[in-house]
Amino acid sequence: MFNRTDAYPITPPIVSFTGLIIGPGSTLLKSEAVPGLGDIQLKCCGFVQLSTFLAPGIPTRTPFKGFHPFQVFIIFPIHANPWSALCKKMTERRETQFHSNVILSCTGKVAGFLDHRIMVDPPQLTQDYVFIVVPDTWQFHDKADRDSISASASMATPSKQPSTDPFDPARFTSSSKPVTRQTTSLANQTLHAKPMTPSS
Amino acid sequence: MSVPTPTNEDNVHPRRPLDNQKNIGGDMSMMFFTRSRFSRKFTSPDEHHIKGLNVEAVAAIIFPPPPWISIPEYTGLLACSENDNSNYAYFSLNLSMYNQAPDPSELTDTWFFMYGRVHPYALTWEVGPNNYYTIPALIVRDQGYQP
Repeated sequence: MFNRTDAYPITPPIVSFTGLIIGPGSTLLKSEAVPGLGDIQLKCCGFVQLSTFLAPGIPTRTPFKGFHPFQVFIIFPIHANPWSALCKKMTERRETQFHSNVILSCTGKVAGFLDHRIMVDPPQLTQDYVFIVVPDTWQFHDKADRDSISASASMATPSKQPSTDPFDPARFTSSSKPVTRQTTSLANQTLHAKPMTPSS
Repeated sequence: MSVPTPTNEDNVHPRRPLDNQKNIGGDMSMMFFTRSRFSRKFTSPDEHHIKGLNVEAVAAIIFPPPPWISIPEYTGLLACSENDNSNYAYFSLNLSMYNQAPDPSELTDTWFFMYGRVHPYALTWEVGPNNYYTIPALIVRDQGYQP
């Protein structure tokens, strides 16, 4: 039985998240500790700030109710295929895409845990895992993107919205019942359309 | 298999949550295969490690290293695992089992595929007088698990 369970699929965990970039590897990794990476690779990796909301059974006891922060390390391994080809555009950019305060949404595989000793700003505890995530799908929400989102949102809102509160329950309720009315009228029609045959 | 064990107060530094919600990012969800041990069911809500989740276990997750990480350019990136033969990592798995099968004991050594939130930094729980338990956490709600 154990042979069977031990042979269970060796697939890496897949994570997804959205958070603010803290900065690129070029400033947050001790480059002398990982000389193999090189300048371009250091631009194509970085750290993202995330948090978990936790509420223990007794909120005033450790770990205390609230948002607990953590960081993850994102890397596009451009020295290996297929990323050398996939990330050609990224490697050709002069600047890193891991600007601080840019939002990154990403889904990817966890490759392992980052060695704390190569981090400029390592976590407090040795038990802390800094996930190394290789994105399968990702989106850098650059500042320009965010501006256009907020602009289009503000353009769309004023005209027909009677209320400014997006959570106004009036948005979801209405006095008329169009759906029910329609079905009943349809039902009536079908009734009328049926040839009236006298029942025997 | 070195499993995190409760420690006493001397080396405990309970973490504090953040003061405000500004720029803290969202949470991280994870899909993973896991096998767990030492499961226990809490009888009182006060004992819950995560409010509303009445079962806790130590879950082992395999993180197989991808081929690219072994090429020379990436040497030094990975943290050396404490026990070199494995790429296991241990988490405190929290889930709910109210009036239903499977019994928590059935969790032991069965592989499950789960979907939940992961907090990869260690958190500390008080599990008894002067007895603390420090481990990263997994939160699996709404039956996000199957054997």
